[in-house]
Amino acid sequence: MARNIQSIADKLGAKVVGQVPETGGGAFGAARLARAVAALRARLEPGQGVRAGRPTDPAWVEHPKVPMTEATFRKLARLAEQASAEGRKVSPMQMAAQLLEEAVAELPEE
Amino acid sequence: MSDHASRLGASKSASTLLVLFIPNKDRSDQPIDQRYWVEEALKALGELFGGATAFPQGRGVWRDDAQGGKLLFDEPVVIQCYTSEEALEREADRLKAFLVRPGTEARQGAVGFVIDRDYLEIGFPLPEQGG
Repeated sequence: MARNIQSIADKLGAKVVGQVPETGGGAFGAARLARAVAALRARLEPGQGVRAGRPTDPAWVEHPKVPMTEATFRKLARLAEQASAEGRKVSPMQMAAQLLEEAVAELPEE
Repeated sequence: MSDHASRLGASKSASTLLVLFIPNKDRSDQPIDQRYWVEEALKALGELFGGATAFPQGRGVWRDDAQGGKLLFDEPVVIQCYTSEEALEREADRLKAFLVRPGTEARQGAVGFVIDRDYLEIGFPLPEQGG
């Protein structure tokens, strides 16, 4: 992480929007996770239901329970925290839904 | 990091990753000359920081809040450039001068880029409606 990011941002006339997740090695991994976070930020809208204010995607109409290991959930929680920004909280399961949507979208049509 | 560089006999060691996203559409969903802008970005990053690599088109989306949250889908080219914070600070004026060009000349709502793990944007207001 850049130590002087705010100073660099100021000099460029840019706004720091948020952080992207640690992606490990490889350009493709970096591009994929950056895309996932960008998609999250663009798609999530403030909810209108009983938990108004928590952003969600209006196209997410199915809410199945998805079993997973503790380790996977911890990793999702970490990614969700990194994808969150001020006034735009991303939950671990929203991160899971986004990654699942992208993975399934990559599969060929039946 | 510099220890690795000296062991490998490398003449350059850069530990800060700058990533630019070159879109293929403007904020009105109209195509732009993406190839031209990729070339311009590579030239700018080559001159300023000594090199850069453009990767094939990906899929992207950006929410234009100035247009009521309209979602703009495009197929950006991702350009990676290894540099250093010192070089970014030193060349900030010239880098900014380049980044503003696609924002205005290619009619973008914002120019987005990543420095290490921070995502930054330079925003551009909607042009005044004529008439």
